[in-house]
Amino acid sequence: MANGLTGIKDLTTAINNGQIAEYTFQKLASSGTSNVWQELLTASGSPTATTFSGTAGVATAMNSSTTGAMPLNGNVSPQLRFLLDGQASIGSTGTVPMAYWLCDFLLYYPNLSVTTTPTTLNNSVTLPRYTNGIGVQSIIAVQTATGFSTAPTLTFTWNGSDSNSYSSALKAPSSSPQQSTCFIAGTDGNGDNNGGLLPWSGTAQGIQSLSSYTITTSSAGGKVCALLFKPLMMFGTYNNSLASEKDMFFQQPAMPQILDGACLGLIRTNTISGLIPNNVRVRYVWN
Amino acid sequence: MAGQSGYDSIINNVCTNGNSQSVEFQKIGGSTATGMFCELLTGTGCPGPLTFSGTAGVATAMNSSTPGALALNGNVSPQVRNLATASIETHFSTNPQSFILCDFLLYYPSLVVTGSPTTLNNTVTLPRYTNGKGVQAASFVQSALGAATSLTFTYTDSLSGSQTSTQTTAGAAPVSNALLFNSTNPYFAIPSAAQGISSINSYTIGSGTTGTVATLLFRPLAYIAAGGSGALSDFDFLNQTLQLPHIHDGACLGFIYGGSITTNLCATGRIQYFWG
Repeated sequence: MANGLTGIKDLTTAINNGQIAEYTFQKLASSGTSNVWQELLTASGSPTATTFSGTAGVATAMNSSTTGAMPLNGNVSPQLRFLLDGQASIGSTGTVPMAYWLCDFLLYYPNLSVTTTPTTLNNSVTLPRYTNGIGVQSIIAVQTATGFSTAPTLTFTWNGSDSNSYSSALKAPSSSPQQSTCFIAGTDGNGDNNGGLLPWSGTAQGIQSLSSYTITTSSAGGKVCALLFKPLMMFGTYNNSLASEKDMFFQQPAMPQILDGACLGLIRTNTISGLIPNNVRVRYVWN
Repeated sequence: MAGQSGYDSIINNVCTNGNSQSVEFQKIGGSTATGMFCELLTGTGCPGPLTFSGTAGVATAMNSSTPGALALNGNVSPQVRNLATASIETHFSTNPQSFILCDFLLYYPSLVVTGSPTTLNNTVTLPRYTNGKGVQAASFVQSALGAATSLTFTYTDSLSGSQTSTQTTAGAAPVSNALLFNSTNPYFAIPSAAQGISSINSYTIGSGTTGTVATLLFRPLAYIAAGGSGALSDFDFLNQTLQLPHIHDGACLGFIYGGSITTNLCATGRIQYFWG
């Protein structure tokens, strides 16, 4: 029999055979800034908080064993694993609507300086999954908030999925961004913050690695962590305490594949105020 | 048989054959006035920006390798590729907005809006939808216009007839990316019998001073509405609205958006397609 799912009968059989697992993220994220993204890997809760440890600037691969990754069953290859459905909700207070990315986190470059001298990036370790970089995105998140002053701007040189080298910039959304806050692509005419993804260029359809960066505008202190990841699905919340649900097979026939070893975690993409619990439940099947 | 024969066929193609791809995007567009439309191809973000390069007036084909196009897998023919889902989120209180996912086909760059009109060259023809059926045209500000502008285009329709359409700016000096309207309609006017446009042949200038426009031919594939600020809008083109838009091999996928944004738009989302 072929690996994977050949139809609804295979799906129901896989479920009946117990080839299904679920997990509920419960992450207590700090207060954010309007329209600014936050990574929830380092937020406390379940799973436990990730620490971006390691030597500054040295690419570190992430997988299902990384502290803070959602528990994933063992390797199923040559079988295939798919996201079946998901639910998202936030607490009784806090800002709605809200959107989340469920991501497979791939690499991080920790403890990058935002003061006068950029940290050297080391790419001895390469992408553990999605190795050609297609669809791979990057965010720059505040790792150490202490010491931030003037909102720094960092210009990264990166290798695209087309193997060309490009550069693009992200900047801090404020002069005192909180830990976990993502840098932004810019601001609009109203001063609202725009997007957290490192912009692409040319014919690149993703990012293979970050090569180096320059500090266009420096800060007195603070550290950031650059992450590479593959988004798998978006979830939205629309009302306080009311879960929104998404079925990946019948409501939205997206059926995202979760690769063996995936480091599953969340990014939050919108305004929030206060210390808010974020609950996201996902189920996956394999066959 | 090419195409999806039923739900099991879709599940089999996606979950056994691996015939599926998701594409996430984040695009930052220009400012518009109420009711305006803009193209997002030239916006920064992921994918990167398109530049309407090339000799002024010379038709330039667009495909999946064109910078600024959303990622597309290699050719699947004789299999058929369908758009399955789309999700989009924006951050503005001036929602709702409309996003039109298009297969962009040709552009005529750097058309002047004063003096002698730029000569249009159709050595290159439509790379897809070659008879022009279902193909729309629109003109967008390429470099900022100095004044209200009106251009009347002569084009060949999908029945090989010759037609005209007048496109006019909505404001005195619209921003880059902004669309020139046909009366209040975003696209060129097409007689009901013609059903599409195969080429733009020439134009005359009714009014205009400085700046240039680019005129594009494209095939709209799906309309996606963004709801309230920060709210994720999800669309299922199989079960929610049974469309399964066909995405041709080599399609240059990108967005036109319309709404009431008065500041730079930032749209984040994903599309997913499958083939079989």
